[in-house]
Amino acid sequence: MGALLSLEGVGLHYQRGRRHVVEVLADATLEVLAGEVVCVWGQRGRGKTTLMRVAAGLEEPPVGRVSVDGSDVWELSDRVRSQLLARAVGWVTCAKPELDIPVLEYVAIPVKVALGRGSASRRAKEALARVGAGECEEQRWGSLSDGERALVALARALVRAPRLLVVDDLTAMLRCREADEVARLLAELARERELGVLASVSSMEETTWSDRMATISGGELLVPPASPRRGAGKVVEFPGGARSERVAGRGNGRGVSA
Amino acid sequence: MIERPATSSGVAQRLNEYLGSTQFAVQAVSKALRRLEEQGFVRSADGVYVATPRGTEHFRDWLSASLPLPPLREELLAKVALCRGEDLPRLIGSVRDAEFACLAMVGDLNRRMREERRILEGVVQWRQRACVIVMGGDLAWWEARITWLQNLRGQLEEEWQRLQGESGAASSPRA
Repeated sequence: MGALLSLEGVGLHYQRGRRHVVEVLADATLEVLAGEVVCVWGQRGRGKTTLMRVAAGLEEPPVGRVSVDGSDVWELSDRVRSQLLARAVGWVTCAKPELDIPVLEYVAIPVKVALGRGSASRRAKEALARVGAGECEEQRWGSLSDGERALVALARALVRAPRLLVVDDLTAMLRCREADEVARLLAELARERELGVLASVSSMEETTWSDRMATISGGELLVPPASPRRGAGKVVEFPGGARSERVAGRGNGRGVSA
Repeated sequence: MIERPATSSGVAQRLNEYLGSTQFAVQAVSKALRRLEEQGFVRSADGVYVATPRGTEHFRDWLSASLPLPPLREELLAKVALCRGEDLPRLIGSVRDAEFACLAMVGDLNRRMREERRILEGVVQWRQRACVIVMGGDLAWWEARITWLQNLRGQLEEEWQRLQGESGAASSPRA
């Protein structure tokens, strides 16, 4: 099965002042398949949001390749890229909407032009019901709890029936139980709709429902192999009693999906 | 003793300088030195110890060896304290390998937690709940450990880049 999302050797840096360069992503490589949830865990300010924006096609990396459904996103014309991303990728973030309108209307916006008002509204109702936020239809963003906002943001991304969801720290503001419910919901959606989900999280507990997890630190994305590597080489006795294994190579598996 | 010959009290003093948070008793260091001498890693004359070529080689091997799983804080800190600038890329690689290993452990733990929690649905017995609570505690422990390893690796990489800047060379510890 081909990957829904593929990042290959993606690099991105920012210039800070004349001499200082901040490497946000370095040689990041990752794949997301249909029906799986991949979580990227990392501390604040380690490049998670940048990675998510690059994965969603919102930011062009100067180095590397980003493919969605087999197409190199940044090789496409602006028009074709917009169509592909609108059709295939749902971007989920808890940012406050610019318009202060009822939730149902807000969720329907992405499909209003394509489907017309009535169908868009029906689709939005279905999406809200599926994520368990049906009761929020008439409310406005300001009156929603953090948990409800997360669900509404998810419904808005689902309304276009994307094949891939890119979720940026959706649960950061939630209490433990709510965050866990959202994480579990993402896993259910991935299974039932054959969705690929790439989600960034700040707490490792939220990775429980993911199929794979990676970490990001210092611009480097680490995607571990399926099981711990043991017995990689010669054992070196530590005079104090501990034992270490000498590894033949180094950086094995770096940036390679399991 | 690779740097310079020393008495057991001299070795204890230097270890305490290098590893500030640990206190090494001279008696314990003397005992360890006698054991190292029996193993042929050091030799002594008039109470002064010096590393043998075999001991120096063994020390280098230990320094560049990957870390056990879970990585032992004391051993890793000893490696950081005792390594030289040229050893940094190797040490950075070891820390990265340890991160990989910890992440894989988290992956295994997550799989087990998912299974337990599916079984747990609707179940109120304490025994099963306790199992999930314990695994949650495990997860928090791994998170703290990985965070520590990442911070450590960041500092080692910064130091390596600083050294490279000083020498005018330009190579990445990640290469």
